[in-house]
Amino acid sequence: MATLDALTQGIFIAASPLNLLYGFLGVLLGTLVGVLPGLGPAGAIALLLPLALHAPPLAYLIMLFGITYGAQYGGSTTSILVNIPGEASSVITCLDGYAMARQGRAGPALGIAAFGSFIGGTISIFGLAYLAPALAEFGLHFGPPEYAALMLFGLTALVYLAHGAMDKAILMALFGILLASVGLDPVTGQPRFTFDILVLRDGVGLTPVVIGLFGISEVLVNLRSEAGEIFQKKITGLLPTSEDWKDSAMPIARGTILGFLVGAIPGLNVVIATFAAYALEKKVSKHPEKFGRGAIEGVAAPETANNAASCSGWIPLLSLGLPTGSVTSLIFGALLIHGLAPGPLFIKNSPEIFWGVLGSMVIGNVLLLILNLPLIGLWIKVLQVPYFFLFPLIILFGIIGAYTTSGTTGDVVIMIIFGVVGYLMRKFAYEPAPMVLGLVIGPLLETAIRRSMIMSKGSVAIFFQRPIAAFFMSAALLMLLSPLLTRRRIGHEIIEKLEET
Amino acid sequence: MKRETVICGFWLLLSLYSSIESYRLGLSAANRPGPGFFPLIAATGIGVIAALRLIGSVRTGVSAKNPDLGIAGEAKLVLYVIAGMTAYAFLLEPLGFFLCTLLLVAFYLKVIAGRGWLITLIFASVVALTSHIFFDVLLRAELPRGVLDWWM
Repeated sequence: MATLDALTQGIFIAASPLNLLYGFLGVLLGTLVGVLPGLGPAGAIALLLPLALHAPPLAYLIMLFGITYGAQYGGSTTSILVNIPGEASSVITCLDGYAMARQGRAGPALGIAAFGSFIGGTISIFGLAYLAPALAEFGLHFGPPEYAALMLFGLTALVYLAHGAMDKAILMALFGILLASVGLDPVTGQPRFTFDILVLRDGVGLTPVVIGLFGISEVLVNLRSEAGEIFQKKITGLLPTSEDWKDSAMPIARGTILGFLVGAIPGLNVVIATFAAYALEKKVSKHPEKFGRGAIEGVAAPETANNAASCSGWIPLLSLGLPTGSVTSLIFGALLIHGLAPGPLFIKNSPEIFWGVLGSMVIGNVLLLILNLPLIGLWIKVLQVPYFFLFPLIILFGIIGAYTTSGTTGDVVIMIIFGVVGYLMRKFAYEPAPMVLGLVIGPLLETAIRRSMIMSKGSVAIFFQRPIAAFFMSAALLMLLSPLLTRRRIGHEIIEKLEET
Repeated sequence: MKRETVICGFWLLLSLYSSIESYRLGLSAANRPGPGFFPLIAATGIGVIAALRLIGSVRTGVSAKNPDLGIAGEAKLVLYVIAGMTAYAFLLEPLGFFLCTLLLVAFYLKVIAGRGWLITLIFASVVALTSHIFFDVLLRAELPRGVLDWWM
């Protein structure tokens, strides 16, 4: 009951005019970046990070959260209409969504995607409201060794489930940690790896790095891309029929549960949730042969699962202060910029922020449902805008974002360098997410490890003697060593399938 | 030379340099780790993985062909975009935000997208003006005004 009261209070906070405006902008921008194949939510959040210095904390966070789940809605539009997933989480929707569009049923496909997303997202918010405070309560027992072990576990989980080679992902995480040590030493204040360059004394800034890695590198990779061909330009009958609802009800229910569970586990992500939901539906269906040929269940289940997972994916960050991917790392950075310390005390110390954000998610899901179906025509027009008009704007926003972080061109140069680094990483199949996570949690991990070592008088056994730390360390070691024993990474079939798609 | 060898060579050099620098910063004792302790762990990890990858790549033999990543085909465009951004970074303070933005967008549209002068100039002017009004006037982002300071 207390949880429901708090959530209701949060909805009231989020419904204030300023918060509502930011929430509206967030979901609108989110849908836009979801629709545009050349820019993802991580890139959009990276471009908006400098705004943190000017905007009120809650309103700003409401906007960033809105971008993340708004992008899930937008991503399905391009999958269904153009057969190009706006987001990786909408890859699987292409199979049946586009097939439905070819049969003249783009309307019901878009409709069920929107309704499924709304149902999955809303139920998942309630799950998040109940689970996160309980987990945060548990996190209060954590000391430096537990934190260090938890962060290592989060980093390992991300590395374990990364696309492609695991050693490359570890390399990226270590590179991020090494970058995080640039600047003044957190204990002694001694400069490290600064090369006497003034801009490096405060460390390598998260904002210019992520704008470069996600925003600029996306532009460089997509320079030769063309606007997609839209199969069905006039969309009618967006409301699914009773037959469609009958076919979709159980996939939506299963997609919600599966998406919520997968999203809440550190390391697993929205993309995996969609593939798992699709595979489950195909398995339980009486007509699996229909899948891939325009089965509405093949749209309903993954689209529900991606929104459910995108909401429950906040549980590790909001309850324990554990970012689990690029987007959560960026939000982690945004919280730090506002002086809000993510961790078990976050909900207790900043209840209006936590419940306000959750309340905004409830409102945002309703807004998306109301806005998106009538705005389909607008999104179709956006899809037809040639890329050569878009990319100068993305670059310009990136430069402004990097410059306004510190008011010096040094950060613009860092952004350009990491734009090139990001471009090369994409070409040579190195994932940026472990690097960003390493960069974000690097200083916290270093402090936690150094404090633990002081506590234990130099013995690493402290990470295995305390039960919670031992649990996380064992799980991390198991994930790191299991490929040596089994020659496979559990659940990696899904990732491989994603790569094939 | 195999591409993987070059990449591993880069990681090994980075690891070597960071390890030496970490050692120079001071490792201290294990019960009170110094400023170089943590970077040394990361640098050593990078070195070990790079070495393992290098050994693996040598074992697969020199006959393994480098897959085409499409970099050559787009290298010119990528270089133009980077050159535009770099010039922008260095000219931002002397020329100011408005002029730099106008020139950058015009450069991208004319040189990279190959648009006509009319579209280029109209689009670049609209972008420069609206972004100046939005960021500089409305959001007061304190962007440099450069040579047009007297006018703005």
